[in-house]
Amino acid sequence: MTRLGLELWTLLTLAALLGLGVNLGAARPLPLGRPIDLQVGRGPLSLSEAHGYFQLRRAVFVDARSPEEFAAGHIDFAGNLPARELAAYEWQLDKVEKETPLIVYTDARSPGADRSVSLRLVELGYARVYQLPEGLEGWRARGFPLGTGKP
Amino acid sequence: MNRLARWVLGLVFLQAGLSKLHDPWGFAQAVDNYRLLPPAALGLVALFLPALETVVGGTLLLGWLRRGTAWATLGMLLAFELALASALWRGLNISCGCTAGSTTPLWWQLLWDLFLTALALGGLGLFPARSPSAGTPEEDGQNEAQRDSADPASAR
Repeated sequence: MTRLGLELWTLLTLAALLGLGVNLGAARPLPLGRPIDLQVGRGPLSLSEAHGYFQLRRAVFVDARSPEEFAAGHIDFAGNLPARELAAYEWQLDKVEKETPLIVYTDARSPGADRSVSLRLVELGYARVYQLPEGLEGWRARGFPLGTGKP
Repeated sequence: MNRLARWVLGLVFLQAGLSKLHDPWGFAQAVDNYRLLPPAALGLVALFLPALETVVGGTLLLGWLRRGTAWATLGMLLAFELALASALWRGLNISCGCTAGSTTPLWWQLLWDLFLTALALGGLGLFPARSPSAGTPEEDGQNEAQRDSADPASAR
């Protein structure tokens, strides 16, 4: 093996050992080689369960996208907590009980926005936080209603 | 130039690596946001990549394993640039995940990575001159001499 190859191999081995060591010592190790469940809060929730909550008005829907995207169309009666500027919008939660189910959603353009908003909601003490599976696209594909209704 | 490049890159990689090793779940989510990897690969990448950044950050600062370190640095930077460019291309609105909790816009991070790549190409002796007649610029030759004198063990 060339010297360069040997050096690269050494670096990769050291990194593998460091990574495995950190994972062994972690309170919540990452599963290796199989899919990770990255859901935040309660979950999972199916799309039809979410629709059930929607019809009975039992949950508050939270749009995690930007205010502009929210204005262009969202799930009816959803509130907007943009992941990028959460602090400025959190006051809207003042009137929301901690036991209220919160269903956070995003779309394919802003992947992960629902998770980061959910993390904050859990931090704020909300006990029933879910992410909408398949996001806004899934909701739309099922023909579930969109609108401009305020929460 | 040579030493400065190593230290700047070393500190950047060490800081980025350690901050992510501290929060592997957060980094797994950040990687997932790019929508480039299958779910089964997320755990391995979320652990191994920060670990490699940390190791390479360390060897950059210490000046150990210089050839391997230089190429690993370049390889990682190119991989990051490809990921960032593809996210920008697809119009994704995500956070970079480059260091834990960073909120830098993607295009800014891409520029920063390109700058680091230039630093690596210019300062880490990736393409050592084999012979003076190969038409290498004089400055490279000087870097080489400097590098060799700083590390007598690095015989080619």
